[in-house]
Amino acid sequence: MTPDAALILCRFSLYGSAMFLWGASAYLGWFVPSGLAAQVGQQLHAWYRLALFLVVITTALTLPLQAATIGEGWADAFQPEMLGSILSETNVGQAWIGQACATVFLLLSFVVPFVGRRAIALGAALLLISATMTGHAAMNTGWLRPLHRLNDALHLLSGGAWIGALPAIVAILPKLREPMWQRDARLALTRFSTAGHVAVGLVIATGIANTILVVKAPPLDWQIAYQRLLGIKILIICVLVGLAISNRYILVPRLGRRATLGRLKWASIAEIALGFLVLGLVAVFGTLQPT
Amino acid sequence: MTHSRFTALLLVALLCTAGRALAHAHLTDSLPPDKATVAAAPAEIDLHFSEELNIKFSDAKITGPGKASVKTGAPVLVDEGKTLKVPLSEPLGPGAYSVDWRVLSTDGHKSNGNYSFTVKP
Repeated sequence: MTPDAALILCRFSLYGSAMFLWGASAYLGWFVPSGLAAQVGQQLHAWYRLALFLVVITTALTLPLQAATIGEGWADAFQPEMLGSILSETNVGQAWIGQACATVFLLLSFVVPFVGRRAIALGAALLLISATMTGHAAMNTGWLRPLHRLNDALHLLSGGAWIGALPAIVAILPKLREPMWQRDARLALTRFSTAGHVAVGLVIATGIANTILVVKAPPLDWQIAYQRLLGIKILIICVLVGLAISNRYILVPRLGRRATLGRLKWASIAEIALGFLVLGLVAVFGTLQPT
Repeated sequence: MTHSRFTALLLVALLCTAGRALAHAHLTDSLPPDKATVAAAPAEIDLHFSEELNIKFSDAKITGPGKASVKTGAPVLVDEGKTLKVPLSEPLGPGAYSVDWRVLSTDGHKSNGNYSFTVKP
């Protein structure tokens, strides 16, 4: 494997995990009644552990992988002099220090007792924000740069809030059938929908701003790998739209039937899977030249 | 119902992340210019890029007639970090020169390229 491919894989795991930790924790911590949140948290426990493990491993690997891509390949990955130069003399090195601090905070929020899910959400949010310290926001100069970074951060956080909350939704859906949780589950899903309006607005606004700042044109030239991958991604999104339409107009009106809830759950899981596929595509073409 | 809304948002989120591309630095201008023939030997090579650079991993090698490499001083960044200035230690004699540059933009992307110019006899 080339260092570049390894770095793509590393970023994919890192952002996927951070988005889950942020979205699920923020949702459970602020929007789900605490009894139900504790119950769902228990169910997602293994996923939380896996995500934390991936965040720690990928953060640790990011620096040597960065060294290998910037330097002459794998030989430079663990060279102390190279790592020192990257840390002290490049922007990606400084962004990594921010990322490492956020990871330490996240780790502490897991091991320190009684700090709760909101601390995990905060740690994961810091991790996503650290991702905006480098990246294409660097292409602007002057006053536009901090604005672009803020826009990036809002975009990642609002998008991550939704994508990351999906696994919690999958866990909450069957609780609509359990008399003990029915009320709380309905409340949690209603709040999810309400908060969604704010997140939708933010994602759309920041997404448009991002596109204006970075892409500047529709991705129609499929000769360019970046735009081709983007095209594939849009096709996957069309599948997701089909799934969403079927959920909303076929499954939801039949929610009274026993089999429907199960189908809705599986449709949500399929959406998470497709979401990951799209995140993977973004991880790949995010490293390519857009035009 | 909630489900369709979060799906809609997920879609929008994914569509919008399309804009998250890392930009690559490329050479937009240089002094001497590409394929130019200059009468006076330049004292330095100025390479102007589309992105800000990190000096530590940015450099240019200049090769003269007969593949002889030209001695240069330590390169510096000017113009808000977008121009790599490479001082030449000795004046260039007449002939064709090629400049091979390798730079690291501040977003962590490496890029490289080359161009050539001629010093008039």
